[in-house]
Order: sequence, then structure tokens, then C-alpha cells
Amino acid sequence: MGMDVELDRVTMRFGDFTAVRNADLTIRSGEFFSFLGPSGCGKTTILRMVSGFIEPSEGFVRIGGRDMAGLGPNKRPTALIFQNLALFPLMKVWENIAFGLEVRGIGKAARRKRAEELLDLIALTDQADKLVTELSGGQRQRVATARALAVEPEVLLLDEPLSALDLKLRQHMRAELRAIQKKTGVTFIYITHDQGEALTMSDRIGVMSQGVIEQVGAPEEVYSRPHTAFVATFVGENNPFPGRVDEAREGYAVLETSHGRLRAVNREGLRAGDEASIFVRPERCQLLDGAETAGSAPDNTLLTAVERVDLEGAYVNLFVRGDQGRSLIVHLTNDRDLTGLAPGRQVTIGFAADAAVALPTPGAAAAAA
Amino acid sequence: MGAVQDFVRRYGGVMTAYIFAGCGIWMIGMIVLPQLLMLEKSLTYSDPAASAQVAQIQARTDGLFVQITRAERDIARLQDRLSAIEAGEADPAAGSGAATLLNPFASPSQAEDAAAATPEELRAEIETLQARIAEARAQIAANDAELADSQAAAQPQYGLYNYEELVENDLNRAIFFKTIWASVLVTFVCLVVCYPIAFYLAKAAPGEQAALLMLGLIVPYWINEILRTFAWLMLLSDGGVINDLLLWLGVVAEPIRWRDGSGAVIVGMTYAYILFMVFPIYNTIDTLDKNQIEAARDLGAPWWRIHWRVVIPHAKPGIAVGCIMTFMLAAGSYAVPLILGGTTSKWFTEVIYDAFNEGNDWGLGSAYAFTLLVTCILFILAMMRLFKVNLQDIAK
Repeated sequence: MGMDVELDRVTMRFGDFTAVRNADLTIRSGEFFSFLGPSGCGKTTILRMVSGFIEPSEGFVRIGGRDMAGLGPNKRPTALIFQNLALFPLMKVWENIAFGLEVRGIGKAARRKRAEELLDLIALTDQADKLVTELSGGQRQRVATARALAVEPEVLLLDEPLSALDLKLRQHMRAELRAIQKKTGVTFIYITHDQGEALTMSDRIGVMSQGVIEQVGAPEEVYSRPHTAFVATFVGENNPFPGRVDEAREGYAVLETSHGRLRAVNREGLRAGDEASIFVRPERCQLLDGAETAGSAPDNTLLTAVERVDLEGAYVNLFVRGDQGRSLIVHLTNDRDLTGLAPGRQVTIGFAADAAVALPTPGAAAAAA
Repeated sequence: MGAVQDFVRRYGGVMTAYIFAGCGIWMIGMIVLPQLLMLEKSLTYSDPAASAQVAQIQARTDGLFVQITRAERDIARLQDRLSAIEAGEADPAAGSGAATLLNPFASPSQAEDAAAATPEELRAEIETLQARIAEARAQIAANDAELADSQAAAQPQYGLYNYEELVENDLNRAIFFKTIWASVLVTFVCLVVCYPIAFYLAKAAPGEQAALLMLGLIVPYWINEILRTFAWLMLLSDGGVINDLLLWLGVVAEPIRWRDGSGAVIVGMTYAYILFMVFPIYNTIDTLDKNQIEAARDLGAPWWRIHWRVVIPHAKPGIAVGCIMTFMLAAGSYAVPLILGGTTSKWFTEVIYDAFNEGNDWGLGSAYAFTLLVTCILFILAMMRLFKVNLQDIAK
């Protein structure tokens, strides 16, 4: 069973640059935890601090309650899967997998046996004596996973290991990694900039931006109840409506925006006069046909013109633009005749106040605080 | 021909001609011809005793010709005197004076004796000289017959004589094996010294530091090899800097004789060929993905196992190239052993040099040189085998 990983007010500085600022959270044992953020947000730095390649400038890293300060990567109960996998190209597949066992002084026969068990686990049973260069990308990915699991780590660290694979394979490997994690019970810490990966695999996600962990939560929580504007825009697609809070009461805020007055949920305690934005997901917007009665009409409606329609398959992306506003995206399920949506045609877009969220504008919020 | 056409299409006619001519001149002129000529020379030998005999006979014949010429001249003069006497007692001094004028070094006493002699005595004298000429001519004819035999014996012949000489010459054979062994030792010492430097340069040193270190490695090579080697002589000789320091510190009672044996030569060569070992290894380690080192470390490997299982296998082609270059340079070095070597640490290159220049025996010199070349090639093949690399890996 995996161990928990505790980041206790961890800060990492490289010269004048602060790569990670005051990261403070506990990753539970046996959890699949993802750090999600754009490149350069500090997520890899966190991974390297947990694996022991770098020591934090401030704060503590504890694994299973034990302080890891001063312990190198070869002394920690962690194993890292590198972004480029870093398999040993001059070794055979089974030697790669058994390298960690070789290091631990385990005999050749026992190593071979264990490697074969792991090859069964990753469905590469007959490939033990091949060179890793003879394997496909997905197979190499699995070998890297097996190599890391062979040393029976308490915590498995994965640094965007799927980024080199094509889409289909990536989706397949997501499911596979998830299954391996469930089977082994090892704590997985997964680094990715791909929100799809984070949302589908993780028990919890930590969204990072510029060295700061902006929000930690279950995927659906992070997706539907973002705490910051960054989380709202980085995780999934969102239509932003920047403006100023006109009135705030009963958990809702009304903003004056370039699209007029719009109403949304106010969980962040916005007050009248604050700089803020309303975010609404493309799939939560509706295309109104004018037949709505006063009672059934959504809280917010916008009069817009069609720019273009992009077919995605199961749904279409409808791009519309208001009089002075910016372009918005609306997802429409592809279950009706959409040929009428010619560019230039006037359409009304609507969304419920409960489907939208009002969040403070980052700079303004900081200034107010 | 398809390849040529392909070349022309890709690089144009001039460039293609240049490349082919360059390759041809290089291959034939620089590699094939010299080696073939040397091989041929090394297989050619002439019996040194027969050659000496030829020279001896020729010298003897030359001497006889000189004697004949002298005798003929003396006969002519005596006959002049004789005919003068018979013609009616002409002034004998005139003939004598002429002879002196013609040949101031010809013995005038003999002429005076002749002047005083009677015609009978003169005739007897002439006969004696003629008999001597006949004897010399007979001798020359005998010499010519002998010369033909000796020349036939001294004719250059093909055979393994020059190689047999190396096998039979205990001293030179010992020097040969010592040279090979010491070159292996130099190569090994260089490898041990250079691998950590190369690794540090390629993977551990921060950018600026690596550049400085590299400069530090290269700068000494701007100085002539002879000067650098003399610098080592100043350090290592009996009255050198190190000995002076040790004596002054009282560590030793009398100077350490570094130059006895091959110690000084090995030190000097290790220093002289460090770059040839560092750079090939550096180049290969530089291409190693740093993540591989980190991955091995993350899987629990201590530093030595990381090197043994990950870095060294990757650096093998570079190590092989470095070892080959260092070995070839060490085995073929002339200046370093000449300057740093003591009397007992002669290098095989010095033996080759002596055979060419002092023994003036090109056949023997070629045989020595060719033996060294073949040994070096065998060494290359052994290294390639040992490190399991092929020519393509090395060419990279």
C-alpha cells in the first residue's frame, strides 16, 4: 500500500526565480493525484523535490510521515517515470525492468522471474529479450512503468509520461495506468499540462500557475466550481465576460459587462464595485429559438451573430459574436439539423445563473486583498 | 556508376571530381603506396658480408690500376732517357728537369739514379716494371672473376631475413615488447585519468566551469611537444624541481632517479596524450541523456553502478577511440622517450630510427616499422572486439 506525501510549506527558489511558492498539501496514500498546469508553472519542480533530485529552499517534504531532507533519490521510497521515459537503450527489456532489483543485489534468476511477472502485468509477456529500441511508443511506456514498479515504490511519480504518444494510444494508456494504480495501490503523483488526462485519471487534482497551487480538489469539483479565474480558463473551455460587480446578494452577483448585465453564482465573496469576470462553459450555453416563455427563459440572454460552425463529431462548436463583445463558443450536440446556422445570422444565446460563476480578476483581487 | 551519377547530381561536377581525386590521392598516395613500398623494402635484404667483399675487391682493383698507371709513366720516362743516351749523350738534366716539372712529386732521386745509370741498367729497370704491370693486370683479371661472384652474392633478395633479425636480436625484441607493454600501460593510465575528467566536463560541470576546464586542457597543447617534454625533464631529472624540493624538505636523502626504467616516459606520455583520450570520451558522454543517469539513481543505483551499467556502456565507442589513439601515439612516439627516457628505457621507434639512419639498413628499418604497424592494427582490432564496437561506431 502506498504512503502519503506531505508538502509542508514548501518553497523552491532558483536564484531570484521562485519556481514553487509555499506549496502546502497532503497527498493521501493510495491516491492518484495530478498536478495540472501550463509548462513552467513549477509542477516538475515539485516532482523533483518529492523524488529527491532537488531539496526545497524552505519547508519539508514528508513521505509516510518521515522527513526526506538529505535523502537522495536512491534513498527514497519513490520511483520516477521520466517524460522521455529514459529507458536504458543498451539493455534488454527485462534488464531494464530488473535494473532496480539488480541494484538491490537480487540474483539473476530471481530478477528475471520478477521481470517476467511485471511483463505479464503490462501485457508484454514475450518481449523480455528484445531491445527497448525495438518496441513501439506505447510498449516503451509500459516498460518504463514496469521498471518503476519493479522496485516496489510507495509513491510513483510520473512526469508527463504520455505526452509523446498519439491520441488513441494516450487514451488507452490512461485507462491502463489507472488500472495499474488500482491494482497496486501505490500512491501516484502525475504531472501533466493536459487537463483531459488529469480529469479522467485523477482522484484529486492540484491546479498550478506560476509556482502557486491555485486549487486542489476532485476533478468534477475543479471543473465545475473553479476558485480562480486561472482555474476556470485552464481546466476545460470557458467563455469569460469581464466586468464590474453591480450588485451581490444571496450567493449571486450581477456584473455589468460589454454584453450587458449578467448574473452568476458568487462563491468567492465578491462585493459591489469589485473587478470580476463571469465564466460559463460552452456546453452550458443554450441556443434559444424564441419560443421560451418568460418563466422558462434563462437568467442571461445575449443577442449575437453566427461567425462559423466547426464540426467536432458528436458535437459542434458554434462561434458567435455580440455587438461589442468578443467571440463566444457554444457546444451544441450534433443531434439536429444545424444547416440553418449560416454565418451572419442573428441568434440568441442564453445561460442560467447557476451554470455560470463569477470570479475576481486576478490582479484586482490581489490589490483588494 | 550509379553512385557517381548520384554524386554529380548532388554536388556538381567540380565538387565530385575534387572529392574523388582527393579520396584517390589520399587512399593510394598516403595509405596504400607507402605501406606497400615499406613492405617490399622490409622483405628485401642483401648479404652484408658479400657487400663488404664487393667493396673490398673493388678497392683492391682500384689500387692495382693506380700502380699500373704509375709504372707505365715510369717506363715512358726511362725509355726517354734510354733513347736520349743512345742518340748521343744529350743533356741528361733536361729530361730530368722536364720530369720534375711535369710531376714535382715524382721521386727526383729515382730520375737522378736513372740519369747516372747505364743503358743496360735502364733496360733492366724497364723490364722489371713491365713484369710488374703484367702481374697487376693478371691480378685485376682474377679480381674481376671474384667480383662477379661476390656481386651475385650481394644482389638484393626477397626473404624474411629482416624479420628473422628482429626475432633473433634479443635486445631489440625486448625493446619491442617493452614498448608495446608500456604503451598499453600509458593507455590504461590515460583512460583512468581521463574518464572522470570527461564525465565531469560532459555532465557535471556548470557551463562556465566546463569552458574554463576545457581551455585549461587545451592551452598546454599550444606549446610545442618538445618544449612540453623538456618541461617534464626539468621536473623529473636528478637535479630537477621535484627532487630539489624533496631534498630540501628532507623527504629523501638523495635524488630519486625517475628516469631509470620507464616511469618518466609513461608520465610524460600520459600527459602528452591526455587530450586524445578526453575528447572522444567527452563527445560520447555528452550525447548521453542526463535522464538516464537520473533514472538509474532514482532506481537506487549507487554512483559506481550508474557508471558501470549506464555511462560506460554508452561511452564505449569513445573509450575505444581514445584507447586506440593513445596507444598508437604512445607506441609511435619518438620525442618523449628520447628526451625523458634514461639509458635503459629505449623505445622501439628509436630502434627503427637507428636502423634507418645509423645502420643505413632500410630493409631492416622497414621490417621493424612494419612489425610495429601490424601490432598496432592488431591492437585496434582487439580493442574493437573488447568493447564490442564496429568501425561505424568509431566513425561517429
